[in-house]
Amino acid sequence: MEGFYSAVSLVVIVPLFGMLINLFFGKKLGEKGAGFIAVSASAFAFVVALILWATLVDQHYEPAIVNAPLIHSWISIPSAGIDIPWQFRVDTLSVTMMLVVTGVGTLIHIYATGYMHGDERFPRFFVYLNLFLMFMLILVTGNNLLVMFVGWEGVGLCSFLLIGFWFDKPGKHPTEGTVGWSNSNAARKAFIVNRIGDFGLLMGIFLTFWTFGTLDYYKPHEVIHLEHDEAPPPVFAVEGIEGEHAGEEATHVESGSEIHGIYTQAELWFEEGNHKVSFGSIDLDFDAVITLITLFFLLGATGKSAQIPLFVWLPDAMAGPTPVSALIHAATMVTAGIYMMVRSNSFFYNSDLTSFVVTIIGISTAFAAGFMALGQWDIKKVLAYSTVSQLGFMVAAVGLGAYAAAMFHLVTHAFFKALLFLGSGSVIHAMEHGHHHAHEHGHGHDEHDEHAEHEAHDEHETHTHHDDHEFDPQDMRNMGGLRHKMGLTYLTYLVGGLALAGIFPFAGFWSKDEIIADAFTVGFDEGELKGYLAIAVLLAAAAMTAFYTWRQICLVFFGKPRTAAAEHAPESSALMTTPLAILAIGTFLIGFIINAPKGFPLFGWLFGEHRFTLFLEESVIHAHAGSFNWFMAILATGIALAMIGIADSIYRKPMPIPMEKDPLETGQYQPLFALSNAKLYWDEAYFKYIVYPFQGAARFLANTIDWDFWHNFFHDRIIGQGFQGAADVISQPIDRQVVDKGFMSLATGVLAAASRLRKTQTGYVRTYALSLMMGVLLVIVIILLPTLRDLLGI
Amino acid sequence: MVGTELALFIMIGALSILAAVMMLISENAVHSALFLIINFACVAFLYLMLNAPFLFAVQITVYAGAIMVLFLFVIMLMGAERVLPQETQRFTWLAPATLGITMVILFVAGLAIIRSDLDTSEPEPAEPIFRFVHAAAGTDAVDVYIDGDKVVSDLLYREASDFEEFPAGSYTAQVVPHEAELLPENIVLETPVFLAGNGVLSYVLTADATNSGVQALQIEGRIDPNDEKDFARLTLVHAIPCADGSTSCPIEVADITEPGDDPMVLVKSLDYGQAAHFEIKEGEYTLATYPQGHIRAAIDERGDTDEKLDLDALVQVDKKVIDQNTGVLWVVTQDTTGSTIRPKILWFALDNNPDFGSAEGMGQLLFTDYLLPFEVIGLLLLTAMVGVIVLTKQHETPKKPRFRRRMANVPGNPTVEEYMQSLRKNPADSSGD
Amino acid sequence: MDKPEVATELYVLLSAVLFTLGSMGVLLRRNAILIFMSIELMLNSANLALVAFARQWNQMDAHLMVFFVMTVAAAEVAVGLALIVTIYRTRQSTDVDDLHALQG
Repeated sequence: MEGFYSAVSLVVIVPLFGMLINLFFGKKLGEKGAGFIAVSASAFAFVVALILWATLVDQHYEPAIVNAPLIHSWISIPSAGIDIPWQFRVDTLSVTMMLVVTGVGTLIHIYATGYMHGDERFPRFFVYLNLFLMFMLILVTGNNLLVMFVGWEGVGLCSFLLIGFWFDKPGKHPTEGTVGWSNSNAARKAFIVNRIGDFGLLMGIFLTFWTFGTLDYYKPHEVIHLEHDEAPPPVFAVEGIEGEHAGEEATHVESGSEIHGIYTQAELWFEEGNHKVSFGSIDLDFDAVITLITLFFLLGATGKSAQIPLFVWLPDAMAGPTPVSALIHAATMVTAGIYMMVRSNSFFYNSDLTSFVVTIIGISTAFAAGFMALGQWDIKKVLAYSTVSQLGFMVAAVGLGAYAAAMFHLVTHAFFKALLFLGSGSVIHAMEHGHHHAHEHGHGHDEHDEHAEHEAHDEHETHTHHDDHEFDPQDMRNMGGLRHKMGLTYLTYLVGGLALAGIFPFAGFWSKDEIIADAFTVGFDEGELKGYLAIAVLLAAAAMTAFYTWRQICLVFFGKPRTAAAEHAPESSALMTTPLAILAIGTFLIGFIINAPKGFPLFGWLFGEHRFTLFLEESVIHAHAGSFNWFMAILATGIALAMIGIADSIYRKPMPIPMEKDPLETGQYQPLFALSNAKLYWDEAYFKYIVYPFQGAARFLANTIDWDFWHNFFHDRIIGQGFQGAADVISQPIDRQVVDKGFMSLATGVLAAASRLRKTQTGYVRTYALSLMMGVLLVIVIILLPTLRDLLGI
Repeated sequence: MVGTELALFIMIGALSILAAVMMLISENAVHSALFLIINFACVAFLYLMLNAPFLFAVQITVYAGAIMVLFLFVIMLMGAERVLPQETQRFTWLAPATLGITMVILFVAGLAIIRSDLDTSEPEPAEPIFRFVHAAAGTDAVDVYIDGDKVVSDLLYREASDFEEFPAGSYTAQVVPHEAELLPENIVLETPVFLAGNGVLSYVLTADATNSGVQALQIEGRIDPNDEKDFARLTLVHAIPCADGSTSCPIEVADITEPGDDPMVLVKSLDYGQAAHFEIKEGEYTLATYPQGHIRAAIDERGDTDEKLDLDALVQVDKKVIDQNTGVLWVVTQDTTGSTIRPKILWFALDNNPDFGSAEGMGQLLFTDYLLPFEVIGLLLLTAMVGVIVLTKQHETPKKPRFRRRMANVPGNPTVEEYMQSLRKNPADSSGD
Repeated sequence: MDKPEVATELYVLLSAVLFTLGSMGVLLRRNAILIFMSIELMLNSANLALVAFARQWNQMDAHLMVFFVMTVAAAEVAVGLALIVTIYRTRQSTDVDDLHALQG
């Protein structure tokens, strides 16, 4: 059974090949073929994940480290002491993630084949989806931080690609904001904001490497037993690819090796208590370094998991197709931050400061996002802020030290949020169909309504539909009474909504209450401030959650249809409704089946207590199961039911047609509603205080410093003209006056000398004769010199 | 007391200087030319005094006769005899400068000459000349080396080489057969040679006394001219080895032109290897060579009778005209042609060297040592002739005005054409200027 | 040879005097022909010296040299006079001072 661990590489390879096939042959395969390939790849990955889970169970939850085929020694620079292999980690945490990702992912793949029907870039969508799946699985299966980072970046890329999938339609689902973002803008915003988080994660990784000398979570020798006496596994033939080896396993135990994985080492050093990390001339306490690392990790998490202050990309990401929203921005990608923090629980657990900060961020995000969700008109926006809020719950749980609770909520949230998104997709699809249907038939009623819509809309400022009346199928004000038209969607949506609100016995009840219970424990039992704060804020957030959930359900499904589109909205195809049903069933069951708390009657006995937590504890050292807190559970449920009742009373009434104002807009709650509708002016504040100053600074640097100073002044004047001036100096005074004059004076000197010497050439023969004679005399004298000397007595 | 020559020299010298000065001063070019001719004549006379008669003649002929004539022709042609109109004097400083320079030259030269170390009291002796005479019967052509230098080549029997001039000194002469290398085994004769200034030597190669080898007899000659007129010098060499191996067998030479009369003995006793010089009047002679005492014995034997003297001549020479300038060298040697050995006289001219300064001397030098310069000078003359013709050729250009001589060649006079034109225009007016 | 009566130096002295007279003529006269004649005088004086020394050294080589000098002088006179004639044709004057076209 151990041999199946090596299948983990398949979970990455199969989606890769699915992507490649769709990439190269998608057009030829057509919708059916491409869809089939993509869904099969995802399903296959799910099956492999199941196999791995079974293997884990069989192996008593012993984790395994599997070497990746071909790229095992990924980065290896022995001379620098850098060894970062590509290894897969199969343990309960990663298997959990794998199951969630591939399970929900497969359902969403199936849903997407229906949703994207008729789109001209159908194959590309599934290329992106499979690519995303591969990266997400790389993220969760990696054995070291760098592999995780590969997946981290990859899912960010796929998010960008998928959000901007309809890049050529000017905002099919425009996001909000004073500037008017379109789809590609939304994609870019997501990528850039994520980048900030990625920076944080990267700094954390660097610090980790510096501190520990390695990035591996766990070293092979820490795997207690995984001996493999047999030959390497046979060649795996995977989907027509021949000659490919399955992963090779770590086969031996290195005893006595000094290097530990980062988490093990961290635990050891925490125990020592006095380890110091040297940064050149500065030595820091290990605790301080870990605090630093975890704060950086937190920054990364706030980016990827849409926490304050980097959550602003998630609402805009609703511009992408609904399956994208469901998969990436509800169930999987946004949970990467949670996963990362839970994986690093050894760090976070021992760092009190960071845990506090994490909690604060989590609870404030939960509260703020919940508040923002109250006043949204767009059906997906409500869900987006809801996602942010629920992620806040998870982050708060991580901060409180309730790692298992966070993971539990992650799993349940994946189910019901995906369900809610897919349901909203179904609703939107129906609204669009209904709109076309009504438009074609030329309903007078519609035209009147549509004209009214046209005036009331303030969301389509930046784009113009020439023949369209700017009908927004996502606006809840256009919906109403859909439960009659779309029964299945309504039922599943109801299930998801109740789960979101935390109503017994749906999944959300169990996970949310576990978080609150752990907060209670941290607060009252352990007396920490963050616990108290968490309780208060999370309860408030839970209240708001219930409120806006029921508001949404009322507006969408109850009452009378407010537009012709809503009147004619058909139920979606089976391709879309089947996953809804499956997810609804899962939402209902998953809560108590996998993690029934201790002390809860009946369910615990039926399904086993804290099975999930126990499951997780094999991997997550500091996961612990808390006991069921009756008080908080009843309190929370009561608050939720109360809020549902209030929302029901407000929104159950028939709404005016066309619906322009929210019932809450009139009266004393108007300012609050406005504030909520405007999302607390968060984007506007970012623009005003960050983006515009940044752009101004950039413009300043470009125009003033770079152009005016460097280019005009420095280059042109100082260097250019200076050089020219020097050249002028050299050419004019020096070259002309000095050098030229020097040579000229040479020439003129020769001329002058020549003109003087010329005078000897008189032209007269007699002077020449005279000089001849003088020469003769000279010769005579020279010849007779001795004689003359004698004669003259010299 | 001043000798004739000196007085003559002073007079002629003064005359030449005077003529030169007059030549310089004279304004008329023709006068200058004539004065120059006088100067040349004086110089010619001086040549004569210097024992250069040939040059005297050449000077007169070439200088006075050709060059000055040329000058005069040109002067006449160009009308330069007239006094040129006085133009502005240029170079006024030239005359004093010239005078100064010439004075200095004179002073320097004069001092140098008068007070120099030149010893001109005695003329230098002439270089000795010698020749080799091959009179050794039985030896073929020979080469003669003096101190390793071949001086005579291919000297045949009965021939004499030309006179060679050689610096004075003593050397060693080696005689080898012709074209044999100068190797000790080839040497026929090795003998010391002593050459003195003014010496004229003939080395006669004869058979030695034992008639086995060759010896060289050094015979002096004289190149100075005869003092006595009509008398010729003869040199006789006794080169017959004595017949019976004795070392002495003198001979005597007599003229037996008239057989009946008593022969006139010219040489009384000449032993082997000796040379005798005597002078006889020019004329035709029949000279006979007898052993010494033979004539006296013959005369004594005849007594007072008028019978012809019957003398058995040792060697008889037929009539020979002997003239004054022929220095004759007789070598009495033996003739080995034929079966018997008979005495034979070999004639060798011992030419006097030509007189110093004579034409013959000039010619001798000119055509031997200085042949090449002679030819080159001839070419030069030829070139000069051609050049003159080319230079003075007038090109026939229509535009170039013809040389028009002025009437009476006076500047300012009309040219001939103008005059003729004026005559045609106005026949009556025939006045020239 | 007996000692000559007139010493060789006297001849040479005479030659020197004639030479200087000739050079004076070359320098002072303006007529080209007269200059030429002065040159001839100079040549002559040299010849005289040569012959004197020939007698002194008792060699006739100097006579030969004199012979050559005379010949060359004759050739030179011919060519020189031809030049003068040519010049006279163009300039109508024999004044050497008129010939200063090569003035530098």
